[in-house]
Amino acid sequence: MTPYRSAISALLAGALLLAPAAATAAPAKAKAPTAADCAGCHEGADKPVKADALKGSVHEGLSCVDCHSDIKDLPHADKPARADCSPCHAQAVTDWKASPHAAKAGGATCASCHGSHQVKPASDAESIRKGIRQVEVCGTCHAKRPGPHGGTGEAWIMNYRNSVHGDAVLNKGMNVAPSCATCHGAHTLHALSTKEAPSKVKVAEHCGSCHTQALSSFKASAHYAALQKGLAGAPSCTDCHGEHTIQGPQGPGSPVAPLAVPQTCGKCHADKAAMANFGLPSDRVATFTDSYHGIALKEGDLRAANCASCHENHDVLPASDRASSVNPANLEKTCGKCHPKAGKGFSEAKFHQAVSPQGARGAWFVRVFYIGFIAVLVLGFVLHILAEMFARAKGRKVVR
Amino acid sequence: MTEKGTVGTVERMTRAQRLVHLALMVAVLMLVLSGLALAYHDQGWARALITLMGGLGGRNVVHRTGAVLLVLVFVYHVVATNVSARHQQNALASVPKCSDVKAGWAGFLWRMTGKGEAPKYGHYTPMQKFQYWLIFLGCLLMGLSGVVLWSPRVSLELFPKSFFDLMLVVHSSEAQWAFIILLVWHLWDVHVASGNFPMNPAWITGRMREDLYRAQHEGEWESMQKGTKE
Repeated sequence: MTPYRSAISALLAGALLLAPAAATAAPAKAKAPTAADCAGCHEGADKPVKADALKGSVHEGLSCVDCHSDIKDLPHADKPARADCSPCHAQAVTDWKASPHAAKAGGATCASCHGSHQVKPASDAESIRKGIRQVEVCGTCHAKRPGPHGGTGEAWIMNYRNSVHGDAVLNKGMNVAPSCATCHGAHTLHALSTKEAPSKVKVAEHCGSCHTQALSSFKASAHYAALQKGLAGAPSCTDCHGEHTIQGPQGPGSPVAPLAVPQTCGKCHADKAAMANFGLPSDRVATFTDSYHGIALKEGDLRAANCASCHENHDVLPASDRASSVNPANLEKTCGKCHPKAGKGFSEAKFHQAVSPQGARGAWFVRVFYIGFIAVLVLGFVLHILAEMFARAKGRKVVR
Repeated sequence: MTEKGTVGTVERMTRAQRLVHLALMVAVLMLVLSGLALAYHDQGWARALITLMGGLGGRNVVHRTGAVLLVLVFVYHVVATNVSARHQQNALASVPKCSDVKAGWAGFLWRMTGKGEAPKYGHYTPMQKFQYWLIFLGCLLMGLSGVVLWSPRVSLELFPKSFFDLMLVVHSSEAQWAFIILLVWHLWDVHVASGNFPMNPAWITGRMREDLYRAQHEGEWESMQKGTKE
């Protein structure tokens, strides 16, 4: 049972129990105002709140003073204090108090998200438990405000609307797909940080609560192992897939589309400083881009191998690992996915070899030789021309 | 010779030679354009060329068609030089000799200093011989490395991948100096140098102006005159 459900059922039960209790137990004391007392004033179209304001909400049947507990005598002060939800929703209020929403004056309160008198049951289209509603409700404030990590909330919401998750929630009516609170938490905000290794592991587990297969294969990867060791530079789901912008491999602008994969992996694997931290080479993307695979891919040939074609996506492992798709023992099979007759030549080959003294030395030597040779040729050519121009200037017959 | 006031012409290239030259030119243009487009794939002009050829697949077709044409030209050339008498004569004239180095150097000195005597070149000038043999060897090397690159699947069954990678570097490096010799040096020589401007028309008409022929191949001219007189 989710916290929501238990809270709501507790509330409903409470409503049934409390209403008669309040009616019978109260007179012993100073006589708390009853619904009928409130109705004495809160009737008529000109009143801001009517006595039957709770009708149709989950709280139908509660008395006004159950929430407005500061009202003891009538007539009450002009504006009663904010309704206190904590007697019934203690955990939710405690979580909220620890969240950034409560930290600033003017931040969201219970009513900002749940509504005040008309709190709807989860099944209702107007309930905050519906993803569509979350995008609207969170958006009322966040679309106008700059985010804590830069950018504006408007962009987040716009990106989410265009994402595969947003499409599922908003256009396809799939309420199981994630909306704001699924990732950001409801009362406890910022439960998921993408900055530190332990929380990046949590991000993976969180996404994995729906994407179970992806999570189990990610858990077999070198990336996950690095996160487990506390290396925050290693990627979790969002580093490759994006956050609000998330798309499937075929989605527009997707960072995991075949054409975009080299750039996405290159965010780290082409970054010298980042790779130095892990003792990994930073030329893997450059050597790929320069290979026929890289060129064909850039030309839009989707048959061409991208990083993930050989290295796998979620369960990427170093070549030294026997389980890795690029371990020499597995190369024949991996290359064989596209080159069916791939034989020994593939399994014994070296890949991502830069033409350099450290990499492909023979090829480097040939290249240097040719550079020298071309330089000599060009020099000879220039001399050839200069001699002819010089002779012409001197009035010698140059055609000889 | 000719009528008064006009300059006579001398045959430089036969019809067959001109056809082969045209085929060679087409083959090399196809190869160079499609090859450079791949070698410089990260440049805008190279991308434009690839697009023009209908993408990478189209580029491959252009390159391989050019390659087949060049091989045909090369084979024809080698066979013809060994079969036809006239070609044999040309082939003999193209054999590099020590005197070519001397003549080339003497020509350079004469241009720079005006001292000594202007060298008299034969059917092929030293520079033409030099270019011819560089291109001849280049064709062999390009052909051999190109065959290895043609099908990676077959090549990698026969050779280690390091050899394949080496051939890739040989193929592109070799291509770049062949490009410099052919499209820069050769075009300079036949269009600009030695009074040929705007161009030496021999590749179209097969004939050269007598005065230019004489000036550029004086050694051969003199023996030709003797031959006609005697």
